[in-house]
Amino acid sequence: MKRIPIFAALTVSFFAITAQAQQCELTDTVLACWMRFNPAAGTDVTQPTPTENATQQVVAAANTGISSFISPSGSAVQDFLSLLSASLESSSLSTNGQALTFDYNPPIQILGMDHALKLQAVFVEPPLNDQLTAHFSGNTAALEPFDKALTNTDDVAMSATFQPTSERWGRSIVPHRPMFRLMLNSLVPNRNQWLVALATAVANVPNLTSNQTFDSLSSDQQLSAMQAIETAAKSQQSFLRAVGGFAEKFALLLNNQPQLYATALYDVRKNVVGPNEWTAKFTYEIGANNLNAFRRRFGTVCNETSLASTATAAQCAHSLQTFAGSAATADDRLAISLEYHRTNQRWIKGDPNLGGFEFGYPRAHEFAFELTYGQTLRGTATSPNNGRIDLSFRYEDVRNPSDATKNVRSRAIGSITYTQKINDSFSFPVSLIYANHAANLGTVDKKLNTHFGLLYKLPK
Amino acid sequence: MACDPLMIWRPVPDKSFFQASVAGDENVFDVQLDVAFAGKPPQTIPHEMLVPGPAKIPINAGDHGAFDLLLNITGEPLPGTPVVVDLRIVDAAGKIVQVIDGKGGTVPAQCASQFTQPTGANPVGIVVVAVA
Repeated sequence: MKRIPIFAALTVSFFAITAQAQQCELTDTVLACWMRFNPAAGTDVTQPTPTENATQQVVAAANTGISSFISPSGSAVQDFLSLLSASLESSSLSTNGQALTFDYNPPIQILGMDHALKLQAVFVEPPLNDQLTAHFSGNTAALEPFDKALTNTDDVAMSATFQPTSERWGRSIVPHRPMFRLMLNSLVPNRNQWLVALATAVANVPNLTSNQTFDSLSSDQQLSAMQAIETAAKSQQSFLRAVGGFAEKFALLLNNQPQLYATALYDVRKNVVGPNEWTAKFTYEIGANNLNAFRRRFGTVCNETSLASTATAAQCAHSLQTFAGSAATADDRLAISLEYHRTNQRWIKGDPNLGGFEFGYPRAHEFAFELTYGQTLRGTATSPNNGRIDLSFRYEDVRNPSDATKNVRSRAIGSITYTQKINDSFSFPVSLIYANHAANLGTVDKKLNTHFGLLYKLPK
Repeated sequence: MACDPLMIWRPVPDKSFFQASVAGDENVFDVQLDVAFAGKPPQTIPHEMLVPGPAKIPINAGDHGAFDLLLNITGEPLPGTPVVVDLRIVDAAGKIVQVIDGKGGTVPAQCASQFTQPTGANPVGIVVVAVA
């Protein structure tokens, strides 16, 4: 019987405290009153600000998984926003599975488009070619000089990737800024009145500063000043809430925008490692629910012309929030790639360590198709310490013009990769990879591999 | 000094300028500044004028008004390279003016804050009240 009054008292106290937090007191400073409704954000700048040292430009990063264009653990989303990143992959079941990837997204404009270029270099731990190891099998002493002479630069894949950025393509807010701005400002169109009222109230109290308590003012000014500050603080709170509700949904749709990019890749290998190889690759990434889908559905009402009307823009902002509402956590992404590879002809002979053995690589052509699906499993795409999963399937068709018996028409590789973001800089990917044929291409040389990695996104 | 959500800078000398500048990768944020002065038409200073800025708004004797900066970060800035907001009032010579601190002294009318996370449903709002 005694529990009910205690519970009731606690409930009343809770609501009393909550109510107290939502109104200013005479003992509050002006700033404390304001922060009851509008908490502080941001931290002090320890370095000289860009205004002070005239520097600018920062870069963006999200959990985008492994960026390597040659890794079987590649992600469904390529990051074109980070300036520089590096990743290390290592196979636990093969001795030659390590690869170090460097990404550079130069902050330059191409054809009027910002951040459209990605340069990448992948350093693969080089294995000796199968023909050589097969010839000297059982004679490790003969292989030793070749093995010892290998360095980390004997198998390097260099690539350049171009990604057009526009209203339809890419995850940058820049092409969408006019729409974003019109909708955002339509939500709370009349801010001037209460901002001027705030400034006038402050001006009417001589020497009032933000760290002054209301009860330190003259008695005839205390209540009116507090009420004026509180009214303005509530107006700012309403404004930020309205804007925040919209901006959050807009960012979710923006992050799901498709990306289309073309890659030219040249793999340089030492002669005892393998042939040099050219690759052309086209990739299309698409998110499940994005701004393009919103435009398709509401474009007749919500276009640049109609958004000039504040009422229409407000209606469209609400439509966008409703549209994105069901996809608050969905960031499913599918990447489809088509590749063409050409292997250069090469013949190796005359090395005294070969003991008269000759071998080489014919010119070969390969077509490959890759499908990668990924999504954030833990948290949301932009939340800290999130985790994402990527499922990949790759089909390769290798043609040997000089010996059709060496054609490999059905080499398939499947992988599942989980990338856990540890902090703002580091991510930890783990992959399970299956290939139906062992082959000397790439870093997959066993039917079943487990890859562990470390991904580091470097600050500028 | 980091920017508080509300700052009162007074007294501002005649022929001063409020300066606002924001730095960061423009792909991941949007910023604007509302300017509301008594007896003057309202203005909204767009992103393009604030980045890299500075956008300059004149303040003359007898003016009083408010600057409301709104920052939305849609993507995650890379570590060590946050979105940086710098607000200040300078005199005609470009020197940061001194304003009262409420404790009998003065402080420079300048603040700078950095932001390292997407703002999501909680955009950044910084209001500066200037009284000349």
